[in-house]
Amino acid sequence: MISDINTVKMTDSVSEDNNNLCYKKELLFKYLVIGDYGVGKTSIIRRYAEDTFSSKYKITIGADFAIKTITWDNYTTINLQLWDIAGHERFGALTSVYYRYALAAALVFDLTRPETLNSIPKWLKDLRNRSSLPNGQNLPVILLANKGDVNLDNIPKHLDEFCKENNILTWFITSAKENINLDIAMNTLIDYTLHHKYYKTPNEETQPLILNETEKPKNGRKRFCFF
Amino acid sequence: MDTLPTEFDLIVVGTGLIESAVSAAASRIGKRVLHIDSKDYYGGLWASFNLENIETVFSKPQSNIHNAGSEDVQLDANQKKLVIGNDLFEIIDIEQAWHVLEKDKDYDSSLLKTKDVAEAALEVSEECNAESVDAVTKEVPVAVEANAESLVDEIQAIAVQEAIEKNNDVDIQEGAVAVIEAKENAEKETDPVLEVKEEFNATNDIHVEAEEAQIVEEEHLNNVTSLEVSAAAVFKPWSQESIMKQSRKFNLDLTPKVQFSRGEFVKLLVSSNIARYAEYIAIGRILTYLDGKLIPVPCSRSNIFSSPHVNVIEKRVLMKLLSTLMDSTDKDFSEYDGKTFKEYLQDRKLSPELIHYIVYSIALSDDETSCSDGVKNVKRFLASLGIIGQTPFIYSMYGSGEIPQAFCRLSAVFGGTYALNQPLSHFIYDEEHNFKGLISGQQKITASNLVTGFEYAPNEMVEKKEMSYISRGIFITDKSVLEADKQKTSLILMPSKDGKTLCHIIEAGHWSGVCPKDLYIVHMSARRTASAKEDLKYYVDTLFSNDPNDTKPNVLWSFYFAIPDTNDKDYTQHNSKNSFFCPGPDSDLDYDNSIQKASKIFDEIYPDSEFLPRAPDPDEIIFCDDSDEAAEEVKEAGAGDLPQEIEKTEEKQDSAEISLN
Ligand SMILES: Cc1cc2nc3c(=O)[nH]c(=O)nc-3n(C[C@H](O)[C@H](O)[C@H](O)COP(=O)(O)OP(=O)(O)OC[C@H]3O[C@@H](n4cnc5c(N)ncnc54)[C@H](O)[C@@H]3O)c2cc1C
Ligand SMILES: Nc1nc2c(ncn2[C@@H]2O[C@H](COP(=O)(O)OP(=O)(O)OP(=O)(O)O)[C@@H](O)[C@H]2O)c(=O)[nH]1
Ligand SMILES: [Mg+2]
Repeated sequence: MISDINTVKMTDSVSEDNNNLCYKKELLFKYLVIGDYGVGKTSIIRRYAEDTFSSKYKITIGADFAIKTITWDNYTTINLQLWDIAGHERFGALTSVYYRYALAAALVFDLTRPETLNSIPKWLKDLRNRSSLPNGQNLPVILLANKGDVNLDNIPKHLDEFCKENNILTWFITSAKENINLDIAMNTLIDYTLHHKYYKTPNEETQPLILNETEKPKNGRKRFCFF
Repeated sequence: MDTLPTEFDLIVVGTGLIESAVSAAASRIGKRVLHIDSKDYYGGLWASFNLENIETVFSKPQSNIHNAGSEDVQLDANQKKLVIGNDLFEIIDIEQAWHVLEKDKDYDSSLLKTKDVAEAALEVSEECNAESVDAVTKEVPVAVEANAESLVDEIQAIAVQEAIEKNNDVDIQEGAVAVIEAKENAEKETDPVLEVKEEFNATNDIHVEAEEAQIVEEEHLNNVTSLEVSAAAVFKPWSQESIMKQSRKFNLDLTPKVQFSRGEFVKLLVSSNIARYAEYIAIGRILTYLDGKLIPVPCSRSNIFSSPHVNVIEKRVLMKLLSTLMDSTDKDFSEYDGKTFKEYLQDRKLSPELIHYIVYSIALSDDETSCSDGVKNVKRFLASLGIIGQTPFIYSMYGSGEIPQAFCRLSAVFGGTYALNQPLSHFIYDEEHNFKGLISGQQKITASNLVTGFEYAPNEMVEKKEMSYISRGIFITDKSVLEADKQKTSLILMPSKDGKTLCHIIEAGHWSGVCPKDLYIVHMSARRTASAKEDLKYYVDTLFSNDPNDTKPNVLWSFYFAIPDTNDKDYTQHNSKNSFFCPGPDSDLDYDNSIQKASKIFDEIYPDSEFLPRAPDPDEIIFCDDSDEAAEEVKEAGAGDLPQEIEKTEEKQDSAEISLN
């Protein structure tokens, strides 16, 4: 479904040149980046995934997400799908396509516009209502106070309490422009996902049908080919 | 919350299927689209709800009209405001009821005791039922390699069979089986369990596990069925409380639909690449009600041959008839002009049982359907057979409400602006009936064209005629209408007592993502004649029981309503050239008709553009470092143009595919 989720092999595979049971895991995590207009969601994703920054991003027409591949350790590679809210999907609810199969979320507000923090509970409410982990629990969430390079004078007080009240793991001051704290923030979520094993490998038996134009047996997985 | 931009190429009001498809198509070709809805959920009458929400959704005032602030909006001299929404459109016959006690503790304790014992027994049996068993018994992953020849195979098989028939000394049934076995292509119709095993073989490290699973499964089935029956016999395990606790696992469709796996709609989903936003499961069987029993309709070649419900001669007759119909042209039926399809079949001297199967299930017709429509339907049915599983149909995982959202997501990803839960009050028109804009809250938003769901049409633009309705029932039940050894999503096509109408019934379980484990959702849709509840009473009484000792399912919760069927007739009356009203849900089984309407509206607005060309996959999009100039270029590019990066990658993709072929 959601693009090429199934093409990334999630099952453990024995590496071929080595008959010892040396498992290499390639995992796929879908994370959401949510927040008000202009807080820097796209900037954060581009900086994190491609290490670029521009002062003016238009929405990337046609793209659902960006992928960052992380070599976590000798055994684990993680393909991180970062889902931006489509540039203009911002006045109200997001579609179920956006939430489905997500494993974590980063909520972003803009330190230069403190009022963007006020929207966080609303985004969080929609997120909690519309998504859950495979075991039924809430998605882990972190809070990013972005544009930390501009000014650090009016960091809202009580962010610790705010996180606690709203069941947010923790918060970070970030800057997409100066590449501050993005890796640490994302690693918090990745650690969480890995540690709690909340991800499930989409197993072949429970896979719903995926309609596809041509049969591309990627990584040995057959797709349903229709025409 | 920020205010909306105020100038668009197209405003789409309502997020129903047709509206969403037009919205996606317009965004896809680079139009600036505002897609707006007064509700706080996607899908309008095509939405799905969890259990908690469906109860509240109709209890809120249905009106889409908000007036606050609109007086402050300044209009031009020659402009007038029309109030959004009309009196014609109404959801009626709403009736919701629980048929279980409120709390677990309300059950009398002697019953609860039996329940504990039974539950413990079930738990034990579940333990021996290793997780993999569950997977193996699932009907979902039918490993189909569909090819365009499947129908040809079907016909070929008939030809082979006819040859056998001429040779007469061969036992026909044996011959038929041989045909199936001989034909490699027929493997698409083999038992799903076996196919799962084949998949396992391919990834051969877990192969052994599958074998084991199969054995466990058999044991499990032997153990559990008897246990479950006896357990169900002594207690009512569900309470309102225990069901409500799982409210969010429900996805209850207002407008449940199945799709022909090779129908127009599925073709469009695939060709436009919107299929990436949707997941499907196969409809595993079609059931009909004949001689007081529910029976699986033999529809694919293999289940015609293996069905115990048709005898050897009937098998032959049925196959032959289907191949005749398949190859027929309109003029073959000229003598049946004005006659019904049933009459045509009766003249072929078919047995009443066969006629029943063909008319109600394969031709999706009733006693009054014309011969030509019946034939058309049979062709359509056969064209989608052999692609997935045993029936031509697929059902949207997590409910039909996913489908409009898939279009909305595409629209948003291509730049569409989405605004739900908006205080819509008026449309603005000039004296020449041209749509100028709309008023939402205190904002005036303008656009060159308006596409809107019929429910938002102003009274001035609606023709007052009598509305037809679809009677709907949604039921939560405790078991399947016909227990099977595998999880099967079922389509039940049940003619009314007099044969004059056909009730469409879909039964789905937790594997379809529409309800929690151990519960079933049954959707009924029929033409409304009296009221939703009365219209469906016959089907409810036939399929369900309220005696816990009965083998029929008990209804735990029921919800009746009737929605306008605005697809049959055009209820709008206006001469505005830039306003387009989308009909709501229709009484068809599928979306083919609706998607055609969407495509037609799109063609009228943008006659020179393709309706939903293929959207690139994420890996085909190169993130260009959009410098300010590049961004401007995109903006200034002709309205129909797409940003360069996409066009380029699409070209690349095409050529890659060509070289593969
Ligand atoms: C990045 C990613 C992509 C995935 N893509 C696919 C895919 O394309 N097709 C597919 O079939 N499965 C996908 N999965 C999910 C995984 O395969 C699911 O665990 C499985 O499909 C659900 O099977 P189940 O019967 O156990 O569902 P259950 O565990 O019973 O789940 C039912 C409910 O939980 C939700 N749910 C299930 N899995 C997840 C999850 N991982 N995250 C959030 N909510 C979930 C569903 O929306 C549903 O409402 C993906 C998972 C991840 C992490
Ligand atoms: N100084 C500074 N500017 C930033 C930072 N992150 C983003 N910006 C700027 O903030 C503006 C908005 O950033 P985007 O990334 O487009 O924000 P967005 O959240 O994706 O916005 P929408 O897609 O419109 O909702 C741009 O001008 C960015 O250059 C940052 O960390 N520091
Ligand atoms: Mg952005």
